[in-house]
Amino acid sequence: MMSYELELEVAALGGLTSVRAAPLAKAPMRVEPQRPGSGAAIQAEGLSKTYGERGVLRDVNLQIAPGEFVAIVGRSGCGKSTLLRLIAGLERADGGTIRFDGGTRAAHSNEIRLMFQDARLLPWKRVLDNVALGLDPSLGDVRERARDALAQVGLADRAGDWPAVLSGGQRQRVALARALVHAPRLLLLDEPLGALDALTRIEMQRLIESLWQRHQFTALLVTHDVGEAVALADRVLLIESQQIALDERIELARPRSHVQVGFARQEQRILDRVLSQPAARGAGREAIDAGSVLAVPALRWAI
Amino acid sequence: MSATSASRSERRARWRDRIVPTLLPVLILVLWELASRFGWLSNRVLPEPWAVVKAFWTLALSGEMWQHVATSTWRALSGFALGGSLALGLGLLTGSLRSAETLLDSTLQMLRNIPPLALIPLVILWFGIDESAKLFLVSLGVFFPIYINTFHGIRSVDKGLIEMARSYGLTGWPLYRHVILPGALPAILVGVRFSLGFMWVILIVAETISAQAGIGYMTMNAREFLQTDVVLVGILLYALLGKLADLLSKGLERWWLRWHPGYQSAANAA
Repeated sequence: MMSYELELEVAALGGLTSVRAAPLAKAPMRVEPQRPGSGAAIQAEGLSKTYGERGVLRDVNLQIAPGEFVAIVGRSGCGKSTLLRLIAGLERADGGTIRFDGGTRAAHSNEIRLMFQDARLLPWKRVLDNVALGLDPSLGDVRERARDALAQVGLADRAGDWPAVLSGGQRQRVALARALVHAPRLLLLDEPLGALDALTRIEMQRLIESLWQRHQFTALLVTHDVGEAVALADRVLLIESQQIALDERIELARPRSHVQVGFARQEQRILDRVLSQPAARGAGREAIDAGSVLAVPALRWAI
Repeated sequence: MSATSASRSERRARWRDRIVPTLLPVLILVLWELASRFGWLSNRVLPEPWAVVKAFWTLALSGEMWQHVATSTWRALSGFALGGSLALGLGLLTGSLRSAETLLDSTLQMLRNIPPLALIPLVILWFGIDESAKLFLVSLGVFFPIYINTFHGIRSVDKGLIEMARSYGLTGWPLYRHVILPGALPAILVGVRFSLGFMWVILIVAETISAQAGIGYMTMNAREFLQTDVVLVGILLYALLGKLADLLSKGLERWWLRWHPGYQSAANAA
């Protein structure tokens, strides 16, 4: 029974072209026992973060509904990655609170998973063991679940390989499987496609979208590519001058494509807004002017 | 057809690459043998190669050599085990805990600058000339290469991987076992290879100064009776044992670091 289901899934994901047409909503989540309501609601209130003298985020408020796909865009160094890292718990906010389903973030930390820009696979573990990293053996066969997750990203046949022999896109798919195997209720994506070539990016976008639709987790994607944000997200946020400067809902039907009516217009509008001189907008001017002189070296490690 | 001729010339080139490097050593051996035969080279300076081979054979047959080899190997390995495990333990400790580093590292760095061989007079005073003196010297010699490389290995583990593992819920021992230790392993193995080389150097000196058994004792004994052939057998044995230790550590690297891109081709071929 189990193996029959597995085969069905592999067939659905067999080629990446069919990913787009994969049976989407309502498919039961089988990686781990289903939790009530797959996606988590995130609430951030008054978040602030400074690095030394330089403010990165100031009094940021953010609400994300369960199962929503939110993309954060902004110029490099605007603090979008910092916001993600605060929500991930990798860094501590200087002020404000983050609530996860109304509770504290810490209590749900095993329901949050993160994908980094670099895949961060352990080079000394084979692909399967990388996916199985941190899985609780008391919840069922670890390797079986890892194999299942690998099949979902179309890499079941690479289970025994070392990460070093995989391509960049394959490594990110393994990283995606490693995140999915925990059945996260919140998936944080920190420019995971930034280093990939254009074709691989499109494949990965479709894969992420289809898995998100199937498992219905809440997704938060940081990207510098406005097109990617519009292609994937329900909402696009722009961070500028330490604040959320734009919160745009994308109503286009899925699966989206660049030739869709309205796609280009929406992308262009957000892009124009990103490119409009941030220094010209009153509020953050002084902070940015003062910061940009002093903190250019700090910027690289900060963001 | 052109393909077969290409492969034939390729094969010939491979043979040439294998034979050419051996030409010079063989030539030297032949010249050396001739020089001894014609009396240009005194037996007191160097015995003829053939005499060395014969001495090797007689010593091996009588079983005397194996006894000495066993004694020396035992000394080397026990010293390596003692010093190496101590170094590994302390290196892991100072590498992992800042407080242990502040407490111990500067002291160890000071001790590091004392050449172990400079301690020989003191060691003879402390331990006399029996086994514990050699054990002490070898342990001390292998300690620092392993300690320093372990320390730096732990410190240079990719911070991104540790961050990732923490965010995947790994802490404490699992984090150590799955991420930090394997990440430090390449550096630790470099330390092991260094210390294996050092191990034999220390042992040779210790054995030639004072011993009642072992390869060093055998050669020093032979020197008293002007048996240069036996002296050369001793030197050859040290060389062979050193090479063996190196091969062993290379094998360990191949196995433990088979995930490493640098070892990948070897691993795939195996």
